[in-house]
Amino acid sequence: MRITVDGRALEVPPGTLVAAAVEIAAPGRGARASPDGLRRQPLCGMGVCGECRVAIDGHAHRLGCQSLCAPGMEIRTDE
Amino acid sequence: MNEPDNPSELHACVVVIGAGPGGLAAAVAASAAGIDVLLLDASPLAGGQIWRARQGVAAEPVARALARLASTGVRVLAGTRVVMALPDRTLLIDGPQGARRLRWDRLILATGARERLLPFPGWTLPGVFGAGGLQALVKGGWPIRGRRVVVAGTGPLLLAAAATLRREGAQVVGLVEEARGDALARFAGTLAAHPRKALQALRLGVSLLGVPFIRGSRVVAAEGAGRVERVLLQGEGGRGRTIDCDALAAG
Amino acid sequence: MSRSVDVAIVGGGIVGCACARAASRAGLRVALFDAQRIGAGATAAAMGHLVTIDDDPAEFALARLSMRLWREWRGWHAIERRATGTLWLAETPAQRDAAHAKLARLQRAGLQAEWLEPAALHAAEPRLARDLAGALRVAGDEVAYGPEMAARLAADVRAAGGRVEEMRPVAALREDGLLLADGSRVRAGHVLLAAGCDSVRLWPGESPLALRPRKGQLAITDRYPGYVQHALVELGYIDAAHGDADESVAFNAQPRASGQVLLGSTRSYRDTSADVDAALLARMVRRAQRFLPDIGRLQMLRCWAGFRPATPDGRPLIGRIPASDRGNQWVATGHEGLGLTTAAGTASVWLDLLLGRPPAIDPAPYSPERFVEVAA
Repeated sequence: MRITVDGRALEVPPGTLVAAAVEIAAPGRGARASPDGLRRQPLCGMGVCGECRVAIDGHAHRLGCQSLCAPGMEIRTDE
Repeated sequence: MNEPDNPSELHACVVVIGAGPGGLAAAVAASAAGIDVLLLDASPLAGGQIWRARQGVAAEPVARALARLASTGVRVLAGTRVVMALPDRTLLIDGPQGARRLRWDRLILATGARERLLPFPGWTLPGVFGAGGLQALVKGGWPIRGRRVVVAGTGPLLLAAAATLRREGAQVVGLVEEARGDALARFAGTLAAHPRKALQALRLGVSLLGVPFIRGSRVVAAEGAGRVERVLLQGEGGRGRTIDCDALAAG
Repeated sequence: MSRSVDVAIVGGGIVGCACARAASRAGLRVALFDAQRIGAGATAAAMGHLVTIDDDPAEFALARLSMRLWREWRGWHAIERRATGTLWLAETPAQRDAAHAKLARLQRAGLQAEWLEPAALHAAEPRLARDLAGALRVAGDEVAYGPEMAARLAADVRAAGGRVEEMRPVAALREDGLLLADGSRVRAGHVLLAAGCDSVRLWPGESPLALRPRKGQLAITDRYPGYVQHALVELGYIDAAHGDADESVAFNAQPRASGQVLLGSTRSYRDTSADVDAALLARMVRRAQRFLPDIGRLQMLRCWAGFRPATPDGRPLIGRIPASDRGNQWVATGHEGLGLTTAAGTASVWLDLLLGRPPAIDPAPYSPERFVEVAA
């Protein structure tokens, strides 16, 4: 299915987590940065650590590891 | 998911929070007895951590349980979190259909466990994950093929995580078990009393042939410029060792 | 068994710590005791709004003195503190008129304040509802983090040779010092009761301390940098704070340095449990929606409750404890929602009274004597 991550189009298979799509779009970069600008990637994979937070279809602070990609989804990371 | 339009208040005789193995079993048992059950989970897919769906495809036991629940009319709310406990046996829940109140007569908490690791220098670097955490992400499509992974920590979960990662194409460059040799031998001894577990252990062992296995060691630091590039281990007698890697799965 | 000190202070919140610092810097030997951690009570539950509130002349005087002293304090480094200013929001023409009276008072007192018409208000805070009557902007107000302030004050006390002891509950005030809960005694020339709501338990003498815990609830969101710039307070907040209603809500929001939005406020005398009352929280959020219509879209991370020490007339008690025969027992508490703002001023007034000097402002409005019933 086609989704966009930070404005760029991406094809991902069904069953892909939003957190995984972020990694596919920009390997190693992570969805977030710390207050002092250090990049962050998910730690726990189960919705606890919050490091996978992204904006999904305009809703900020959604947990990427608890969200499945859907066709046409727009994902925005902490750029 | 089989919810109709959004009444702002729901009710069920039995509410089960958590659709992992425990929650699924509870929901199946209660519904088989003819009780009105509602099952909810924060994750979009049932199965919890142990029975994680792989690329959206439910694990066998999960598919079986969900089929049983569908046939007995159990309501399943996926992607739905409990926000607060309200007075008078009511929960405030929030999911794809918005926030709602859920009244219950009996409440079953099947929320399972969370992975906890003792922080070490560099634990916030991109590429450092919980062992179960990376396994879960990989099952959700996180690219790991060809990447060098160190799996470290203690206990049987480590082996399962390493096996999954290997199966998905990761290069497991180290399996670092904190327990020393004698403790491991004792644990292996207990398996003799549990043939199925022993067989499971044997299969795991076979699937991990060729992976460097380091006993009696733990991670003391992760290092790298902007992401993890190597991990520092400390073993028995203070012996240190460094393993270059692209990811660390620490449990 | 401790050696003797000049002043033993009960309570390590913002007020107790400010008083301890003032005393130790004046050369007195100070020992401060808190049952928990420094700044862990009302200080930690608070919004951290340093706000020159002017509706009660006595409060206004104390707040102005205190804000001057906070600005002079050299302990601010690495403490969260932002000069956001406050916008007092007017909903109705009546409130607009009241705001203009307030503006005049503030300007006469030398504060930088101005009135914003709706268009200017919208430019200053685009997220606000478009149908407000305007706002009074007070430029000098700040948003800070109380527990860090209290910790720094405690560090100042130690640097001046004083003692600050956490996890040391006090059982009673004595004529010659304190009796701690563990049975040990602290000998002190003077004692100061600055224990917030717990002051009631320790109050010496026959007549009880006129202090009630006034429960408040707050909620904080995830990070939304730039969502609001100022501390936003509805003018109705003043009525709620000064009023005696059993339960009330009043809109209050502020940006934190992290980009999180801190949302308040509620007042309740009826509930003494530390749990968040969901129904009252919902009322608070609905009230916030009147002023920030899209606040419902923000993710709330956490909500909590705390207790303000409240007196019948809304003013703190600062001065000698009436039941003290020797005149060496003092009290500094009852600051309701203004503890952080007025702690520095409180310390100044109290220290002057202790040392027999005329305080910088008239201390009579805060005198504990005002609640003593005169025998017929």
